[in-house]
Amino acid sequence: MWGANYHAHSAGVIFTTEDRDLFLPADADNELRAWNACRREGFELWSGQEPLREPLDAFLAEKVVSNRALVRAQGHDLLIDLTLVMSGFEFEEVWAKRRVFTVQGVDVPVASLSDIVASKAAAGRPKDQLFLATHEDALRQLLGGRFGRKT
Amino acid sequence: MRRGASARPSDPGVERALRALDEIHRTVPLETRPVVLSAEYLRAVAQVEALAENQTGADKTWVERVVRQSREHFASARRIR
Repeated sequence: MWGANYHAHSAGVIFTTEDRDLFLPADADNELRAWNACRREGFELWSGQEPLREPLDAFLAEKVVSNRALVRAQGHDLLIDLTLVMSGFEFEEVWAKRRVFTVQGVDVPVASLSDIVASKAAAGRPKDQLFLATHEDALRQLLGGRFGRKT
Repeated sequence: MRRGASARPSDPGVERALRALDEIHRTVPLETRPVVLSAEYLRAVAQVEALAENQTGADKTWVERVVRQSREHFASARRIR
């Protein structure tokens, strides 16, 4: 499940980022399928500063899922974080409120913008604080007098 | 990080971003603390979610195009001083 940029209604609310977060359920079989799909498409898999060690099997997937560890897929000028954590939320509650957008004919499930914003507020890392300040300002400029108006 | 009055940008968006960066600088080593969102901002987020172009089935191919163009633009940036 992907994130904030797909909720942009104008280029003015698109953020240039080095990586993309793909939020996965805490399911070892699914994690392993995601790794294999990445490998088939020519991505290298990394955990921390090291390549994800072989063999990529159910045992390793179980360990990664139980530790909620981050695996990064790298290739084609893309960095994709296969994340099992979204601050303040379990996968199922985010999945239930997803939107499904289309990108080049492919269905892409995307977390709701309100969940994304709430998660960044809960995480509260400096980069989240920067995102929230910048996003609020972008919406204020783009919505003008309609910004935050009560209905 | 200290900015002189003469360097202060007049754009409120730039001001807010710089204030956030100042905050990041002040909190080194990086601190994590939950952010309280204003009711006004949360209503704006709901407004954006309610837009027709943000409903399930919307074609967001243009977002990928903009992201790619933006990355290419910044990748070609060169320091001039």
